[in-house]
Amino acid sequence: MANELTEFVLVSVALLGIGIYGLSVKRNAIRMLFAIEIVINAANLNMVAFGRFLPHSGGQTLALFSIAIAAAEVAVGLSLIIVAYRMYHNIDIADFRSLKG
Amino acid sequence: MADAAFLALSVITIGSAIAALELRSLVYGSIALMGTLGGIAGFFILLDSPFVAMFQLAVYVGSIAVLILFTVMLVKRELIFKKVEDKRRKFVGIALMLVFMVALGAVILDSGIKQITTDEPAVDFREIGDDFLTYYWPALILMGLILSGAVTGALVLARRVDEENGQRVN
Amino acid sequence: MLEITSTPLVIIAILGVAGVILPVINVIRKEKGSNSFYAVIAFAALIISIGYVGYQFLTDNVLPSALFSEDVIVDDAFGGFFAIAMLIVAIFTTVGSFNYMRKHNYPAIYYSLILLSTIGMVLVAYSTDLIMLFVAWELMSIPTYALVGFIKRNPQSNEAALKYFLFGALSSAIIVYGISLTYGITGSTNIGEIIQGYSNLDPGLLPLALLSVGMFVAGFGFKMGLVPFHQWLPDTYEGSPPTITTLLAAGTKKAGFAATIRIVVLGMVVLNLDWTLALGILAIMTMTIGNVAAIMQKNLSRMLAYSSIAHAGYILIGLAVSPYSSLGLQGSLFQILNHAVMKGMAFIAVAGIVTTLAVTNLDKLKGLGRKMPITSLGLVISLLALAGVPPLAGFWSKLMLFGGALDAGGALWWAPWLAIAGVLNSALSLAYYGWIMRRMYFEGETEKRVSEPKSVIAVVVFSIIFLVGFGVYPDPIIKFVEYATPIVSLGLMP
Repeated sequence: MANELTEFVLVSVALLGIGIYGLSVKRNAIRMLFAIEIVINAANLNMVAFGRFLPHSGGQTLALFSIAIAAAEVAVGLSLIIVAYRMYHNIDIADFRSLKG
Repeated sequence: MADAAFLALSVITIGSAIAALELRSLVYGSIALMGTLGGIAGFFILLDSPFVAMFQLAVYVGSIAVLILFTVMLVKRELIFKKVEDKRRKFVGIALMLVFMVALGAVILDSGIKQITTDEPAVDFREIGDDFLTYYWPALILMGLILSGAVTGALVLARRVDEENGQRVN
Repeated sequence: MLEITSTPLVIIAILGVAGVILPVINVIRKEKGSNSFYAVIAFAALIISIGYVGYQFLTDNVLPSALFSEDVIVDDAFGGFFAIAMLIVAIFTTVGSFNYMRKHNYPAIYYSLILLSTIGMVLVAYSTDLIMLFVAWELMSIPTYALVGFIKRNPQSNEAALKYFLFGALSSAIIVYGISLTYGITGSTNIGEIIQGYSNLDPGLLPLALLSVGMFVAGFGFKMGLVPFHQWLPDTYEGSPPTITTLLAAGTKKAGFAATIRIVVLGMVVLNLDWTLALGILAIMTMTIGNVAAIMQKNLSRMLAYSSIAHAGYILIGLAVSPYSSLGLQGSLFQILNHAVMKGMAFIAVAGIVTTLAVTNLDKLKGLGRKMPITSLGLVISLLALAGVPPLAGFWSKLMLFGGALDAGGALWWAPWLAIAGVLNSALSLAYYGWIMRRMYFEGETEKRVSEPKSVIAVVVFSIIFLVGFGVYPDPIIKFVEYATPIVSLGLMP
């Protein structure tokens, strides 16, 4: 292998950080979905990298499951966003104020 | 040491991840997200996992990102560019991110995984298929149930309310 | 090897077939309006499953709480215990929705999603492999995202669903990241092998192991509603259809505890960190903040939501003291079962109130005791049991939890404080429960009785029998809990 394991893990950590930044700052539902996808991808990169260096097939299997589940999750999430858009004509969750404590 | 392909891929992936969150237009943002997802697929190829890379391209870039792009294009034009942001919150977020990255990066550089290198050949993708059908088979069944639940749930949610009323009259 | 007749596989088969076939029947039948047909199918599938779990227990086909296995799932008493709790919750939800769903579209999809989510909850408790646990976790979560937003014309339902979805997706992303780190450190996804890997860990990798366990706590903590991660919970519980709140409060939350006991507690025991103090602090924070915030609420569902945050804190006491006192963990399991019944009944009663009177505001519940006597009686019993008043089942579980905390006092100087905080919090909660009861019985004019939904009455009667019956004679259930509780100690290795 030309590259070291640490380098892949560091890229993954950078992506995780960016995803957490996006989730804590953005209030647009679609942007928050982007941030979540970035975190999941960071995790997938980690798994495949570890799986390559161990070497062990579990990492790739886990990544495949995680990709397929992300697809299902995104489908439900986008349909919720569409319903919200039809109702409010808006996708900023900071502007949704029907629930208050 | 990292080779050129690795460096180029990390620049593309991290750069487009930042762009996906920060570009003013949501349309360009989602295209940038495609860049991130594609970059990850490139890393998978570097890691000798062509099967996962193909899956990533087909599912993530090919369907998830396109689905997001279409949803974004359904949304009104003003909203695509609308950006309400609390300045203070943003600085706190950036600070949080930097602290997080530095701390985690230090932990990783300090830990023992630096020594892990391998000269063994990569895992054959036939082994993955074996895994799926032997050890993980109950998980595979659950995976099918997840997809069927997600599809029916999403269909019911995305259906228009007026359409439902029309059907009921008929 | 996995037997084809082992409980988890049979549950997947029964509920999975019923869950997938319901929408198909809906398409074939084409007629709308009658939901009883779908409800009966779902109910039958759930009853058969719970019957099968009971049969497996009675015929001794179940392993003692193993926690490890070579396969991705194991048919042990711990999983069976949770399966019974989750299936009871699912039955409550199905029966309780019977009247509620008359007013809404797509009953077939609704019941099918409930069944699919139930499979996920049950399988989380049976998993002995991280991938299996994650897949089951998602099977539990994804249908509930759709169910919370099921009432599309109601903006509250949609907002609740969107918040729930974003936090839920974040929590599963964190869990995947934690799994990836754990996999990297130990080279396996099987929980038994992970524990082994943790026990002879390279000291340089210890910070990473700590981080991965922290990520599990955060990820599962979102679903359990532990305090730093609880912001979504009151909004979601208030906005979602009250029947679905039953499923969330009594079901998915308990699955989070099952997953925590399977991974976090064991992982931490082996890593030998001073983690009990961290869980203890989380427990005290969760109890106190949940109860204090509950006092200020003006909406019944929101108040019950905060009270369910507080109850996550009580359950956490048992987890925190688990390495030093098995009584604490038994109390946790007992409290999990009790809380499933108590909160399940409370939210079904709320659903009954919403269906007939369409109010949840506490000011408008004056005189409810005369309007809906049976529903109110159920609500009162469940509130008393939640507070832990003696002749009810809730008392014994709290007694075991606080006893466990005192029991661990020999090894942990701070453990008795957990018991003290728990008792104080219970007293506090009794104050605001009493306030609701006063509203319902001693305020408002004499009002006419309205007809109560029969399905709600069925749930209420069953729960009252359960809570009072096991309150008077708790021995059989305490024996069952003792049998189902895994032994968590430092000597335990696969």
